[in-house]
Amino acid sequence: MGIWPDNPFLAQIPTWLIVVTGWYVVHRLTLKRDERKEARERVDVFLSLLRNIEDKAILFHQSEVFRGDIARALRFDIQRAIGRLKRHPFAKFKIDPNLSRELRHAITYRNFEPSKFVTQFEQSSILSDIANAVDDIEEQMEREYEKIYL
Amino acid sequence: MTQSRINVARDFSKYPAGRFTADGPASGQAFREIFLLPTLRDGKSLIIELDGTRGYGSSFLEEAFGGAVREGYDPEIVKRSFELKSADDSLIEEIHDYIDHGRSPE
Repeated sequence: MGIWPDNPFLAQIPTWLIVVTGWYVVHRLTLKRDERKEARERVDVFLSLLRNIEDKAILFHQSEVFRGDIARALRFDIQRAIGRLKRHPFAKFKIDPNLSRELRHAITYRNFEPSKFVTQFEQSSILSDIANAVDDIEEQMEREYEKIYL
Repeated sequence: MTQSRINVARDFSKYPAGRFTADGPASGQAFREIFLLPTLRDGKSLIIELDGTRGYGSSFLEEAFGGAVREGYDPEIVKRSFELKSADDSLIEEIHDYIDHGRSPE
């Protein structure tokens, strides 16, 4: 009698172990890939929302007159974007809260009221600050994504 | 004793906006004059629930809270008098920053 008994069921155990382990490994890899794909999609949606905020902010600050409708939309969009950072999958990302603060500050601190509105030109520090605030969030988000999923 | 509590969206405006009263009825200056200064004058404290509005502009926040410091109140007293509640930590940090720098805003 060898290592394995003559019972054919027992003799198949190693084969089954290999099959189950293989299935488990493939299953884990599939889950991981799906999770990565879903996270990438959410990051892309978030970054598109962020770029939309940037475009709207530039349009607002470069308008010839104060645009209350865009100011209102910006306040809401910024709040919504910051709120999203608390939800899946971003709760796993380490995004510095200062970056959210800087985004709101860059867009809505200066030149954000009708009584003192002045059309901003391309070289305006307000527009540079907005671009920097958006870039900082985008960069940190991409870094976190790479750290967690790649 | 129960601490007074306000919800900005319910008790002031769902659309707080602008720095000065010239900018609209829901400005930072109006918020300061209606809620913050009376609390500070009476030496009381107030819980301020920030969530529920359709967003804040930084100019509103600075004028409301930083403006309270420019009215002559010590930043520490201003911070102690108002307990800020929000799911958005960055909002509370931003307000504290405006209080700290209220005397010499950017």
